[in-house]
Amino acid sequence: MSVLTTGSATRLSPTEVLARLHQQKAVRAAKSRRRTAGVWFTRLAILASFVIAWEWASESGAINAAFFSQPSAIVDYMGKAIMDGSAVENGIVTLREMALAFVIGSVAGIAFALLRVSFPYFSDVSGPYITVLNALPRVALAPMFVIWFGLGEESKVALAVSLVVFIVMITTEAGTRSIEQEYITAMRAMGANRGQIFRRVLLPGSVPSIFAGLRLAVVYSLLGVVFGEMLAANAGLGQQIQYFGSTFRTDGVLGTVLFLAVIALALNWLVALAETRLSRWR
Amino acid sequence: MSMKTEVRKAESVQPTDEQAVTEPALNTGARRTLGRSGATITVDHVSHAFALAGGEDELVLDQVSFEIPSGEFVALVGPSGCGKTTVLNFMAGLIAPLSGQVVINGDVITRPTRHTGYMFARDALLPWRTAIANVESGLEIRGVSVKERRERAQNALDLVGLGSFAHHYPKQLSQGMRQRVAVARTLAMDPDTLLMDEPFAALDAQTRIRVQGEFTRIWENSNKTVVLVTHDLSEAVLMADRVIVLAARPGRIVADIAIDLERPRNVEELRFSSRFLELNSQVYEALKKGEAS
Repeated sequence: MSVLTTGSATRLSPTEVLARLHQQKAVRAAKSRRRTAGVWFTRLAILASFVIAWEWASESGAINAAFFSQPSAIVDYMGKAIMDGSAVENGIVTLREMALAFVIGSVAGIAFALLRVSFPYFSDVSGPYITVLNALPRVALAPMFVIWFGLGEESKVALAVSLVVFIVMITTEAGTRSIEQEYITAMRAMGANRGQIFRRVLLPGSVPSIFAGLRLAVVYSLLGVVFGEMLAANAGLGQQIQYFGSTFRTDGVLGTVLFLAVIALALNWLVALAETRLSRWR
Repeated sequence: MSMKTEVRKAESVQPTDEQAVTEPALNTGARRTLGRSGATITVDHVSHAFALAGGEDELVLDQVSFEIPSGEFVALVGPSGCGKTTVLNFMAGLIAPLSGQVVINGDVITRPTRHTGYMFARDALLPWRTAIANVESGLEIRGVSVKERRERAQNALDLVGLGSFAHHYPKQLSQGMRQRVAVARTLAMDPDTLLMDEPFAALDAQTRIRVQGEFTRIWENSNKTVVLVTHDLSEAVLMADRVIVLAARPGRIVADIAIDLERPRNVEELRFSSRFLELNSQVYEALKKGEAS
């Protein structure tokens, strides 16, 4: 008889009922463990079959390896690029640009958002300008950034900042405006002035939305600098992709894309870590 | 019904001279030991109007006047729209009346003062602060030193029976506990006046009775002046020294009833006493008459 059988006519004592609950919990925990293992197995199986099928298709000539590359060639390229230092060198350039854009864009975005929330007059005046600037496809301005800031790293940072600042600003602002009005009233009733309300309510209350913005900022700062590098640069992973693409080195393009993915995942993890630390109260 | 008769009616339920003499004696007994002494509040011919959402304007308060002596616990009751919360907000200095004034300890109130504590139906605790940090927030605003405010906050938490929950976040506390933390936050500032707007309304019935009892006990050991806005008549009668009944449209006083239940009160048991039931129905009658007028 299954331990999950319920509604039987037998009358159990409280101890027996609790024992039954205990059994039930154990059965459910085992089930959930089996399910998690199954999910992971399926995920890996899909990835493995995809990679094997790709490798086999290129090897047998079913698809053109010159166009589609093949897993072994990509891994080969990545190994060489790490050994000869080119991946690290270019990776550092991209990472440096990205970090700079992330910091400048986020700080400016948060500052603008908090200013707009604190000063409704400023918010009303700047509103339409921000709407227009944000609607503008910033990547279309990339050539202007090159003209203004040159071929070096500055123009990539500028392009990425122009993306990040709006994303962080809009997310932070939306979150800050949704802070419960009653917190502010309570503070006012206790005699708090504007500055005290800002520091004690608006700033800490906007932390969750700031982090939502920062997660997006990671993605968009990387997008901005890589696109800038692809357009015109003498170093960086984006420039590498552009170079490999124009010389039909598909293994180089895809290998570098994988490097970028690793960077993005690592940074995302860092932001998530900081978020957990600062939002224990949630 | 004309204003005049309403005023006379309000007077008719005022305490007699004898009661008026014995009442302060109760208030100055040995039980008054905690903190600053309460403020005297004068509400002086206060009238106010609001712009309604539909575009129409409505007179919410018409020449409301009453006085609260130091250390008295007054409850304001009345139907919704009678302006009882508005009167409380005038006292808190959160809004200004269009006519008339509120005077606390001789000062005309124009903005929130640090001598007044305000409590709402919802606890308004900051979710990112622990219980003790929430209790400290009012003291922080006043620039009290870290060491002193820690100590006062801990004392206030002990007073409401939550000393061991100091480092819990609000979401880890039950609703009743959160409301008690809000009480502690208000008490820690040692205000001479407590303004409370339906402070127990969000609690479940059983918890409400417990917190009411606890608050009454704490207040009875203090000198503080309390103004409690509530729609719960029995809460008003059980806790207050005096119940002011307002009628709506426009908001005005229709009765002012002295509650002569002896102190210290056991709020839990008192609700079965005959004198309580008498006073309760007296307040209820006043409310009903006010509505009909």
